Amino acid sequence: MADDEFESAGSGASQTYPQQCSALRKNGFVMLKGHPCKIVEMSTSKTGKHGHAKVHLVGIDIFSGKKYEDVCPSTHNMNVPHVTRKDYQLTNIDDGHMALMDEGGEVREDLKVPESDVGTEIAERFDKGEDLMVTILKAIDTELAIAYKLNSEK
Amino acid sequence: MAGLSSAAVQLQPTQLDGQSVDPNLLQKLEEASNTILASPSADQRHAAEQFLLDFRKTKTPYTICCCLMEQTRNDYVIFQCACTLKEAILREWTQQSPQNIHTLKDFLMQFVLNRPSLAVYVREEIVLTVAVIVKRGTLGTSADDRNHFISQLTKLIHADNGAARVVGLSTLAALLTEYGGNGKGTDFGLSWEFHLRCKKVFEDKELLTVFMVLLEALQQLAGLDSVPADWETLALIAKLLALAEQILTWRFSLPLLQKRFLSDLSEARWNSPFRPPNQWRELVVGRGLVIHLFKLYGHVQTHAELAHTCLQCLLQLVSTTGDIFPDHKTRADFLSPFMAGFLHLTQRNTLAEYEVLGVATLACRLLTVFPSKHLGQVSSEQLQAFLTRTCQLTCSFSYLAMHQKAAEEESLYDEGLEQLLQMWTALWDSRDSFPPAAQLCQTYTPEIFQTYLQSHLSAADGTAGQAGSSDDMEEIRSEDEDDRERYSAQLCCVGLLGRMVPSHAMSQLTRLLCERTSQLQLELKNSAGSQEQMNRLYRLYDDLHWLLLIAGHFLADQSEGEVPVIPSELMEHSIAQSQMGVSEVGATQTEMVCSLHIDRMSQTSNDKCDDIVRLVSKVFKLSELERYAVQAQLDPLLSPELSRDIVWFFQRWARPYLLMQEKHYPQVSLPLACAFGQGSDSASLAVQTLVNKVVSNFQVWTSEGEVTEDTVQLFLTLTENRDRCLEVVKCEKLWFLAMQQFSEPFVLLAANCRRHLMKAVLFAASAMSAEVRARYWTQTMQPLHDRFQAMAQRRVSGGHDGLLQVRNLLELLCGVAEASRVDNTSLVFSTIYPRLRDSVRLLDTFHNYPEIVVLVLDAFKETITRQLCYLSQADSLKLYEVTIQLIQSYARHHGRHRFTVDASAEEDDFNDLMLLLEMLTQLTNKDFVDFGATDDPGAGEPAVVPADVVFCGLDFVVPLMNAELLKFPSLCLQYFKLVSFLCEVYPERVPQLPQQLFSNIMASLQLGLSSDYGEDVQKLCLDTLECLAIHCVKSESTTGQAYIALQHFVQVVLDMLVLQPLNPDLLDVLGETFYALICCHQAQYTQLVHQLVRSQTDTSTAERLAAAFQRLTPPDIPLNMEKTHRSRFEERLQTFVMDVRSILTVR
Repeated sequence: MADDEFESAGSGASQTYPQQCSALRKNGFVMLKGHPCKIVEMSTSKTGKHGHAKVHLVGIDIFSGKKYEDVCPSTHNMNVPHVTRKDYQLTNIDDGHMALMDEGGEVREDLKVPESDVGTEIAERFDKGEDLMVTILKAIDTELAIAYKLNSEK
Repeated sequence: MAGLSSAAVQLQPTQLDGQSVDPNLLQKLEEASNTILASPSADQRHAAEQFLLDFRKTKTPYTICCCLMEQTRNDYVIFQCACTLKEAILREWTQQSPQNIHTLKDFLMQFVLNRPSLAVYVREEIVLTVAVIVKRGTLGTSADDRNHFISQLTKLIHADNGAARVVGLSTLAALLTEYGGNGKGTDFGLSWEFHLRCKKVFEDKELLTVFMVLLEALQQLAGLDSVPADWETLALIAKLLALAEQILTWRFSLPLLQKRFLSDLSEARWNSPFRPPNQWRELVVGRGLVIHLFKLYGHVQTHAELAHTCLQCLLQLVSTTGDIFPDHKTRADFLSPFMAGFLHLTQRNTLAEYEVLGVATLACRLLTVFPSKHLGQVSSEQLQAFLTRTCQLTCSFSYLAMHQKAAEEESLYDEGLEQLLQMWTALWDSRDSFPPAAQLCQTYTPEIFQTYLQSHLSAADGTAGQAGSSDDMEEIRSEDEDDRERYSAQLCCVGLLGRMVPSHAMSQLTRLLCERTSQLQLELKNSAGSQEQMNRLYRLYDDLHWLLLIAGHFLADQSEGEVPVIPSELMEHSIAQSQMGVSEVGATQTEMVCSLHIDRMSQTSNDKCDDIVRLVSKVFKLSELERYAVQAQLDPLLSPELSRDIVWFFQRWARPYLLMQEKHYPQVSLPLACAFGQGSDSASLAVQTLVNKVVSNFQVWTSEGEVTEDTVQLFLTLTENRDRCLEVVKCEKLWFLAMQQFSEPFVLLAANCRRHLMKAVLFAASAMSAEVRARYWTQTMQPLHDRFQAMAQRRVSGGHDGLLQVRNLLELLCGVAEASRVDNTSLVFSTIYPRLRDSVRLLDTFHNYPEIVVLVLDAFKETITRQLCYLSQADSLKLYEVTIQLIQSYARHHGRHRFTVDASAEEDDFNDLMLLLEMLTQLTNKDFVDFGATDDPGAGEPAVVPADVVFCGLDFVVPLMNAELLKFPSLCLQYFKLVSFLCEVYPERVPQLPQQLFSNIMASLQLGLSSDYGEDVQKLCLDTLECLAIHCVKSESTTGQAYIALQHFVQVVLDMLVLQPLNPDLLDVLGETFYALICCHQAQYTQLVHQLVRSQTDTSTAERLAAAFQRLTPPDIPLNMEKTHRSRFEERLQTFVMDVRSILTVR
């Protein structure tokens, strides 16, 4: 986990892969203006009836929630961030930091409770003593808790 | 009407008893009115509104209101008084003496007449109040009163005083609205029956009088040489025309349908024809009504709105039908002035844009409403003059439609053109009953077809706008309709028009296609890529685009679900050509083969070639030219739109022509059969060429989703049909398509396209010999198999490298599931079943990736939808088991409460749930439709039945379906569909569900009935309740959770029947459900009836209510599920609902 603490300059190449624009799809991910985004709108257009297709992308930055847009010919390649999701058991919250245990029993305490509705709910439910699994999404060396579920059903 | 003032209104002195009139009332009312009209603050507005609302509720306000109206000069106060009077008189009707009512009505009429300067809205409200009073009294008073009233109005209309005439006409219009509208306009609080009886009385007696008055007024106006253009006259004409329109769109009560008036209430259709009773004949047919209307049109045509209403009247009048015409002679006589009027109307050089659609529709109706076999009754000169004129109009609209486009999106000329084109096709279709129609059509259509072509072609041959202008280069979004959709109706008609004169149409199309293709070849050969050249190319592409669209619609029809056949006109043309020796087999074949070989393409056309084959061969040439250009990497210069057109054309053409079935035709053209038919070399070659084209398109156009989708549709057309497929399997390229699914370019295709491609590839297997098929299948499926295995074994913890690959695999798996057909069930199942098991594991691994979860669910849903009903018992069992594993895995990972719905959530975000619901619903189908073999008849009950799987899923799904989620319409509908299916198929199992689950379901039903989820959901909920109740009755269960839960719904459904706003479409299902519920809970029903009756303060109401219930469920008729009792109950229920609603809705 220590690697995650560092700014990994120059390692961007392995964090994304190119994909033809037309093969992207809504709800997928793409780098827009250098930000890892979830595609919330995707449409094509062309200039004139006999023109070639262009793709319009609207994405929401996975981490900051900011909106980015881009247009490019559908034959071009766009960078797609590698996005992974991993579940951890929430064992403690201390000073806004979550203590998270993975399947192997390893515990990390480097992630904050996010400042979002999900974060508020996580904190509230944890305070009530509920057993939570938290999903951590990772892309471009940044991590964020994006969802949780009750562990009792497992 | 004697001069009246408020002092003369004789009101009962007692009326004011107990009420103290605020001496400052007028002042307060004026203040409140001024406040509302003077953009007040929210508080002020609220206070003023509240004051006025309270005032509106005043009891017996007659004297007060009349006095106030006399005293004030404030229009808004007068308006409020009129509203108050209208509401009060309806509310207190029975307590008022006829004399009082009469006096009030006279007062109001006189008031309006005395105040010509009243604001229009005030005047209309007052005459509306008068109309409401007249209608409310319809059934109680004698006809004399109304006759007298109407003759008074007549006098007003004939008066020499513009204002009085307007009042007269306004009052008539208000009467028509009130009588004709079934109580929709004003809240009478009375049963529909009341409204319908009033309507019937009115239309039997007074409507004709009103019509006569109107006719006279029209006659008078039409008789003038010109109409003064002052606003008073125009307002008068507007009133007259509006009244005429009201009468002409009147829906006469049909005696036979009187009983079914309830369903009649579900909104009037605007386009229903004018169907007056035969007493009207003299007036409608005999007195020159048509002529007057046309004359009047001449007076008003420069006023857009008046002209529009007048045209609407004419359109409605031309639709006249029914008993009014005793014979065809009368009908033809009626038609004749229409044609004359039409010719007169259209003799002007140009029509205003607002006239275009109306005039075109009039022409179309003239020929479509009149039974074609009697067209001979119309004088042939008149008919010819009419057709000559409409031909001119068609051509001019065709031109204007294209030229007006730049200015406006929705062109009225396009709509007008469509109407006129439809008229021509209707005329052509009538040639069996009216033989001269064929000749007439053939005279006029060449010009129309020619003009349509020219309107769409660029200069030199055509008149279309110059390409390269800014309009043509605008941004087109993929959601916008393309020409194929947007002009589909027009193109279909133009295609039909072409078939009327096939020789002419084909020579035009062939020549133009040939020229444009040669020009394109030249341009591509000397490609410089300059802007100038791009403009030239653009023009060429657009010409070719339209030529292909027109040629495609000309050659074949779109056939959904029918056997596609070659249009008879074209087959006959081809036969005639060959019989006359104009075409020959050899020459035709040579021409076809030449077009398929690029090196022989330059050979000149053979004169003796069949027309159809020649046209098609030109498209093949164009297609091959495009393919070579792609190979030469000229694709940046090419048009994706044209690529689409080419494969679209082939798809449309191939269905009826390529390897045509001779048995579908009484006679077959030999040259056509030799070029396209079974066993012909050129047909075989054509299939090969098309397969090559498919491959070529996939290689070059991966970035153009629409092109690849049209391409894969062509490929499906080739492989779906066995005869064509037999040729497809001979193509080497097929194996390439089948084996290369995991490499570029195929991995770049859009998801849907990949699925369809997989489906087409597997369809192809059905035409192979058993041995080849086995090899083909293995080779196609092996890569999928291997990759699945590798993926499932690796158990990577959701790494990104796997993600893409898994997505690809699952897309293809969905394609395999979609390829299920009855002839390949076991093969597909044996392929797909192990992969489904792998998929469950994949779901486990990738549970955090919604896109993967959705695909896994989709693959299961598709398999269950398309395969389950054909599967043997053993295979079904396997499928059930793996489905249960899927549901369990899905449930485990998704926990409860996952679905917190935030404001930005879209329905798309819940695709997984949607698919799960669909999948469960599909599972229940196995108990409806099952074609699968039972392996061993003696095996007894299978270990797992669909219900087990469904209930397993239900256990997980139901707790998730909260009110937030049900707000998404399709999710909501699907959920209730599932629930109602379950209760219908397994009524005995549902009551046995665990208590928590069961009460969740019942709660969701309550939600479904009380929320605004729409009629379909309510229907499903009611069906569900009915099934449960019937089961309770049949099983004589008087305990159990279902029985207990249903008790509550007796009241819910009763309220829906008698208290809440009723949707007439739901009445039947409400009745059925209610009956089942009261059979189940008779005691509860009795108690509710008592409660409702006792809650009435008024004893007479209570008595009537009790009596209505008595009639609905007479004590001597048992409440049980016997069919006769059920159906009789439903009959009684209709009367009951009307009775009770008329009692309970009085306010």
